[in-house]
This record gives sequence, structure tokens and C-alpha cells, in this order.
Amino acid sequence: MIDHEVVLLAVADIFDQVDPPPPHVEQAARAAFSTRTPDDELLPLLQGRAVTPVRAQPVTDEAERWFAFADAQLELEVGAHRGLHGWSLVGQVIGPVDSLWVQTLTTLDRIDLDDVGRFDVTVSSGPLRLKLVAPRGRRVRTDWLTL
Amino acid sequence: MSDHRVRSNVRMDDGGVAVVHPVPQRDPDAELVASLVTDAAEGSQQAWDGIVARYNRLVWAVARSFRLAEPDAADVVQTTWLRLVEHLHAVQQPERIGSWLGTTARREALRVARTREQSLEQSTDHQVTVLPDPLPSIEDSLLTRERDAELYRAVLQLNDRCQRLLRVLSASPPPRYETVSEALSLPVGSIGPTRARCLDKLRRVLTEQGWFDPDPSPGAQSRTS
Repeated sequence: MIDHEVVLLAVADIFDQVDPPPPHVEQAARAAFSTRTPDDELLPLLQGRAVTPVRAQPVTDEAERWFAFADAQLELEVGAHRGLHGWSLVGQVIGPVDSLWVQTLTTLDRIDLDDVGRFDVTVSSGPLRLKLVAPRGRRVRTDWLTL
Repeated sequence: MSDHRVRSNVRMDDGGVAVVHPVPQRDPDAELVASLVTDAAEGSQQAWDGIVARYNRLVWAVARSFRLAEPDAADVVQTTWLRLVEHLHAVQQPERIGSWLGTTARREALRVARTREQSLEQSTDHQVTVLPDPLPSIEDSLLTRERDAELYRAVLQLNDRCQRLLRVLSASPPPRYETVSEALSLPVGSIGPTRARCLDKLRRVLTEQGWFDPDPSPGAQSRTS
């Protein structure tokens, strides 16, 4: 009788050969540490869902998502729509905020806000989060979202 | 694989009678993992790299076990690690970080898998939707040795449940049953029996292919040895 451990070891060897984690995945995992911001406050996610749009053209993929974050002082609503050149993020910050930023693993870009806190920005697919700087230096971030 | 092993500690009570006190067995592996997490939470990149080296294959295996295409699996893995970075300072049981990673990867993988299913439901008859291959085909697997190709073919014949379990169990280093339980949302007690059934199925397929002697005499050698 062949021991199960022998078979499992052979299976592990096969998976190592046919489907190992790509090198860029491990590099990204190591680089993730540089995004660490233990002093920022987390803005809790209230709701997040995929929206099924009614369209003349068939939807070929997850096309729209919507998120709402809030704490006692700030509310942030974001709609994400997939376009030809990435994801369009459209939303609004309600509450006192000095600046809004979108962060990926490798970039941190400021987003323009209008007089009532609305914004519209295009981002690439992949993990991202939004960061807000409120008056008196209060720093708030969302958790990571994958678009 | 049990996480609750105890060893005896015999002491004499006041009357000179031997009393056995069970004491938790020291688990050097858990201590190492806990110290990596603690050091990373204090800002050590080296400790973080140690955690990644230890668990990245597990997280990848969990993501791929939900039949996600490679780009989606890569996003799931990246999001899982990013979430851990942000929650490092709040980890209550650092020695159980493998379970936390497995759970987080599973939830994220399920979310992505659901959205992919929704997109399929939204497709019309006018479209031909091609599901991504969760694993390379035999032809694309680049397995040069025939016996490896046979084994891979046999694994692909297993049902999803078995493929998923064996995939996660064969991550390197081998995960604890507790971690597998969290990663796949299976009761810990069911993992051993399910593992045995899946490996029995695999062995039957391989025996049909002539890998093993179906009635081996003592000391018979497998083709893998």
C-alpha cells in the first residue's frame, strides 16, 4: 500500500511545477510592507456591493461597484465604473476634509475635490484604498479594495 | 497536526502522592511565527519577508483553489497581504496568522469568484464566454516527465472539493489542519477523513494507469520512489 504522504508529496511537487506563485506576486507581497500606516484611522466600510446596470450593450464583466464608508465625522461614498481605460471612481466626501488621495501598491495620487466634496478620477484595476487628511492633521484611510 | 497537544508534568502533592498536571506543549513553530508577526508589527521588513516566505504559497493556493484565473488570483493575494499590513498591530493571536491569512484570502477569493459568476449570468446568447482555465492544461503544463503528466492528469480528474483540499494541503510549508479549516471553511475534524478519501481516489486513478501494483507485495516500490 502506498502511503498517503508519498502521494501528497508527489502532488505538492506537481503543483510547484505547474502553478507556483508568479515571482511578481511574491515581490508585491514583500513590497506591501512599505504601505504600512499604523497611525492612520480606519474609516469603516458601511456597505459595498456590485451594481448590475441596465444597458443596451451586454455586460461582459463586473462593471460597477459601490462603497460607502463612514465614521462619526466623515462620510465617503464611491461608485466605481469600469471603462475602456480603467476604473472611473466617482464619489463625494461629506464632512471636514483637507485632501483626498488614492493609493495603490506603488502610487499615491491626490484627487481634486470640488466645493461640495465631489470627485471623479480614473484608476487602474487592482488593489487600492482612499486616504483623507482632515483638519488638524487627522488622517483617515479606507481598507484595501480590489477593483 | 493537532494544535492542542499536552505533555504530562508529574509532581508530588503535599501527601507525597504523584499528581499529573497537563501543561501545554511548547510549540517552537508557533513561537517563531508569533515572533515574526510581533517584529513585523514593530516595523521589521525582515520579519515581514519571513512571513511572506512562509505563507505566500498558502495564500496563492487558496486563491487558485477557488478556480480564479491567474490575474484575479494575483489580486486576491495582493489584497490579502495589504490587509495584513494594516492589521498587524491589532493581531490578537500572532501564532495563528496562517489561519487569518487563509480566511482573508478565502473571503476575497469568494468575492471575486461571485462577481465572475455574475458577469457570466449577465452574458447573452450572442456572446461566447470562455471561462479561464484555473490551472494550466496538460499540454501547457510544461511537465516534461511522463509520470508527472500522468499524476497531474489524475489530479485534474478529481472533483473540485478534492482538488481544492489537496491544493491547500500541499502548500509549502504544509499548513496546520486548523489553518486549512479556516482557509476552506471546513470543520477541522473533517479534514483528515476527506484528505484520506481524496488520496484514495487519486491512488485508484493512478493504479488504473499502472502507477501502482494493485496488490502489492510487502516492500513493493511505487514509481514515485
